[in-house]
Amino acid sequence: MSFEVAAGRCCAIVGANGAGKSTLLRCVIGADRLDHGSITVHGRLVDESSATFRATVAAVVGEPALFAHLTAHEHLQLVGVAHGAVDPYTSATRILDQVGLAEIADQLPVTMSSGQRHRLALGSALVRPRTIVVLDEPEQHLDTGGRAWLAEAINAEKHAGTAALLVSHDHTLVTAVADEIVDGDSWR
Amino acid sequence: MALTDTSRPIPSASTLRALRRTFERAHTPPMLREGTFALTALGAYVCGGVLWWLTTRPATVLTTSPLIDTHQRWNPTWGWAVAGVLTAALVTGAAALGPVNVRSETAWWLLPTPVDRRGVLRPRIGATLGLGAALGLAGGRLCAFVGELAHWLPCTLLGGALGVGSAALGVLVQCGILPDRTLRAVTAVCLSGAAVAAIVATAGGTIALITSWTPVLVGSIVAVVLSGMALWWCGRITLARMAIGSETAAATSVSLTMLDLSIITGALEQRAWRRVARRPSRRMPTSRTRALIRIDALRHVRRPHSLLVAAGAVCTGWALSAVLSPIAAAWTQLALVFGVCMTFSAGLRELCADPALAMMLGADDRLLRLPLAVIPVVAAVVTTVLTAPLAAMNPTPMALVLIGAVTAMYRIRTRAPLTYDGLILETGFGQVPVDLIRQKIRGTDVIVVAAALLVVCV
Repeated sequence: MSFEVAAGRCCAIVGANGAGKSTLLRCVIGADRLDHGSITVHGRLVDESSATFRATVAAVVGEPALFAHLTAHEHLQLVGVAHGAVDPYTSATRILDQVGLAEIADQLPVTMSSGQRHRLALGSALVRPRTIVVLDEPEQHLDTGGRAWLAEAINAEKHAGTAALLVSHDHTLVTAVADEIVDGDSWR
Repeated sequence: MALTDTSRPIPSASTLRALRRTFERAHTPPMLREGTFALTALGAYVCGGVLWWLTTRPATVLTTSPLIDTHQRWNPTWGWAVAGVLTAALVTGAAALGPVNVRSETAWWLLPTPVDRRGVLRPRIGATLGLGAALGLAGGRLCAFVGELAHWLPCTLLGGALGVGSAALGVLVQCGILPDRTLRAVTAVCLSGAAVAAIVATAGGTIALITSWTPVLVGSIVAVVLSGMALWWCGRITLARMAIGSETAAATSVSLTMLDLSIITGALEQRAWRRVARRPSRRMPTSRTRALIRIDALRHVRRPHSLLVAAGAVCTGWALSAVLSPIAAAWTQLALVFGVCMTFSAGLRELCADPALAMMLGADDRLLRLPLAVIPVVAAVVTTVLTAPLAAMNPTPMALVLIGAVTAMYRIRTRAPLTYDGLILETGFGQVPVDLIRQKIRGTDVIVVAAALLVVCV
């Protein structure tokens, strides 16, 4: 299988459970290795250890990685600082509000529900500069309002020139944001 | 007929146990039975050997060892210090593991039924008290060795009573009969007693260990009363209270099986951070390096147990410098500095254990790891300087200790997560996991080399 995602476009991968959609995303972000073939980002082979690649790709794939002792707000600040954001404190406050976590800004990750941790991970992808955003079932743990916000956020990414690649089971979300759809069942 | 109609009485816990044993006997494959028999025989052989060693060695077997400074007369007061530390460790361990815990299948299928919970838990309480007694007896015998007691039986039996009492105390706290702070108070009293004993021993004072039977009798009565109360009230232990200990016990078991201590330390840290729960968010510096150092410092500000560990290590170093031989003192300093360095390097561990964190922070691994190594290195330097009496203020072994501890810490923390699908050699004696050994050696090799070089330097 082969596909491309251009800047300002969104590609959605859909298909049944077990088709290998999430594995493909893990290969795209360099967390897993391909048996055959290649994946390039901006013309270069994926290299997860490269700082340039990390600065380019914002990913929310799998269980979010979090520091046990930092609050939600501090996590977003740290990501902002690490990526050279201009005003990480204000950005973190704004993003927390957008993902609906303003009330638990001072909570540590161990006290958050899986849904709240997922929202925080989404926030970590949005608080930093990026040219590609990779999302694995981002609609999970989001209510109807949250899913509407997510569709708006992905469309805003596209307008800002970011390439978006997502795996989703939510037909409404895919219809609202995807410019290309890849059928995961086709390569089974 | 309504599904809720019941006409038969609720079976007793012993009936269910018998039923379960019948099922297990019927379904256990013969190979598993042979394995269980072999393991039991091996356990009996090892325990018998340890028992033989503990009962036949002379009273001075430890105090005349080459690791002890034999130029000074041994002070038996150190036996009290060891007793205090061991009792505190036993009480803390009991609290961490429950002490009563159940497997998830029992918690899911059996405990929510109307079966008498006291009857279900009683064998577990018995096993817990038995384990406490065994550990207490071993600890008591160790104290008798440290106190050079020729008449060691009363001290050993008192240790057994203390072990049973500690386990029973843990059960009573778990039942809700005693408040949670009881165990913390007992631990604090034991550690304070150990500190006082160490100070007295260092100052040259002597407090003889117990050799009469009266304290043993009193201790045994207290242990029996506490055990009786634990057995009587154990039906009040809630599933929630057991679940906490069960998580830790499961993590301990997995840690031992996978030869990976980070699993159990991770589970204990999760529990500790859950108690902290929330803190006011701080504004981060705008430089990445400074922000990483700040977040590493925040960890120790929000949960200052690492500072207590460091203080304990320094005090231990000062106390042991008076009794150990030069090479044993140097090795002890290496162990203490390495321990403190590892305690302060939790940030580096978290970063390297999950590649997704480094990916999220968007920089080169080296740029992320070095700032997180600053605080452990500072802690190692401070501990090395404060435990200088162990190295007789000699700068060469101190430098060796510092470099060895810091290098070992960095290599251990930055090693990739363990994998178990590497090379395994089939030999006539069984399997040798070559690749796993290779992974585990990273870091510990530096400690071994540093310890060997210390032999040359000291």
